[in-house]
Amino acid sequence: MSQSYLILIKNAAVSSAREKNVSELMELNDTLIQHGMTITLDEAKELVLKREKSLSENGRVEIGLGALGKIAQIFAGSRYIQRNDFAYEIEQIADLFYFIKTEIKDTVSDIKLINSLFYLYENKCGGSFSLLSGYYTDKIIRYYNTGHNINNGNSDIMELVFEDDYLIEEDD
Amino acid sequence: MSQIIQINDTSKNIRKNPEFDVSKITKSDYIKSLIDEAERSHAIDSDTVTKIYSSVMDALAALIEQKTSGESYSVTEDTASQLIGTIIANAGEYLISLGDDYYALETLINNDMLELYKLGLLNMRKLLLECVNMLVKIKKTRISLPNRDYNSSIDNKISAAIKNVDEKYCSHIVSLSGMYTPSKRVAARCAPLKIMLYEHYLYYENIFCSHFGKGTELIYYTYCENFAENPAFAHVNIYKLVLKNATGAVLAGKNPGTLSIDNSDCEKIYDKFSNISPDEFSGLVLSALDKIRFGNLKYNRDVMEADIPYIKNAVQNRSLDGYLLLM
Repeated sequence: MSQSYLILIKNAAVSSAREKNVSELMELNDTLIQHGMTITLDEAKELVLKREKSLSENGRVEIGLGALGKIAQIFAGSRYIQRNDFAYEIEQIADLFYFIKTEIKDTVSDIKLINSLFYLYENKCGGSFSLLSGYYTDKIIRYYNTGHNINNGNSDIMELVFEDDYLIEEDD
Repeated sequence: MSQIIQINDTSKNIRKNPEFDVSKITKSDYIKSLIDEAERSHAIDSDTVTKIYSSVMDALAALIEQKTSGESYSVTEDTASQLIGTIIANAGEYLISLGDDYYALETLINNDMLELYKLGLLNMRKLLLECVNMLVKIKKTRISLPNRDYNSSIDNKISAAIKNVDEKYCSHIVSLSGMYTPSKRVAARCAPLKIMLYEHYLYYENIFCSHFGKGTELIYYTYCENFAENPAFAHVNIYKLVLKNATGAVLAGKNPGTLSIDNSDCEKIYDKFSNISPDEFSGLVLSALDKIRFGNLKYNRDVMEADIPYIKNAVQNRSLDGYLLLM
């Protein structure tokens, strides 16, 4: 019963939510401009559509702008992202974010995961999305799924990203 | 509670809509059933349907925030489905409690799903409280036997089921598997009602058996001995053993309250049923049952009525010694 409701409700809500999400994303420009970034209306529409696709592919449901807005706000401060690539990078990182959330069974909060991804992107990947989405994503998922999160999911993922030794040891 | 529910004048037209057929509305999936019928009869338009379903999404957002303590904006589809099930079940129970399908539809159209969910939750929690009270009554009337299923259900499993439902925001799903099985199938549209029904059945069975005093113990141990079952682990409904023999004894001409039956009693029953029509057969069994004025008479009747084909079979095959417990 609930699964069919989910489909009904998603279908009913999606069109009205889409417009709202686009305008919420456009409103973020006031903050993004401080970092020299902006999102155009076309980019905002594209981002919202891609986010829907990503949520669906990763078997997730999100209400409102959700993590996408936070990712845009945090990654606007990146040293590596250029204005012209900003929307595309955000789209890629959001997709990676939803993938990790599902893989680690929601054991970490949105903001911690976004901050961790940002830290890795800036300090370990040198702005390389492929390194972030491959090597480090695998590390994060293994870290959370193999019992390293000994505090029953309350451990801070930042412990992982600051514990460089752990990452190197694992690699060795 | 009802004062916070809003009804618009425009929705009062639903009551005047001759196409809106309340007989098509089912309680098992009440909200969807209401919406479908209202849409079919043009009592509401597609925009209103979209508005109602979007309202579920708003309620879902509130529950996601509650579930993740505000730390996550998204959940897996499985979690979302479970939460939606809970929202729909609780809101649906509230609307059912209004007792009027027209009023329920008007209420659904004019109020937020989150508000309806909260009101439903309140009703469900009251029901769970009644379940706790009912458990006390069951404990007071329990049969003193070593049957582990029976005892663990009363001592632990019912309260665990109540707690589990409460912790899951009164989920609409509850499993009674692994619990002592009453003689009637427990089917209800929501978890608290299912637990409540289970408890009532157990209570009726306790009350019935308690009237037979030591006879209940005797019949149970006889069953375990005859079928080589450990009294602690026997998979049998104790009440049903008692009910069948008690009815059989009356059919054999013994006083109501007697449980002992022997082969000569079976012969008397065969004689009684010889040369009677199939219609008279049921009447004869049920009139014998009516003489036993213990427990919940309707419950006793429902259980016995479901057993009539087996009795008929046993009489026709002269195998009552297999249906009843001779002792």
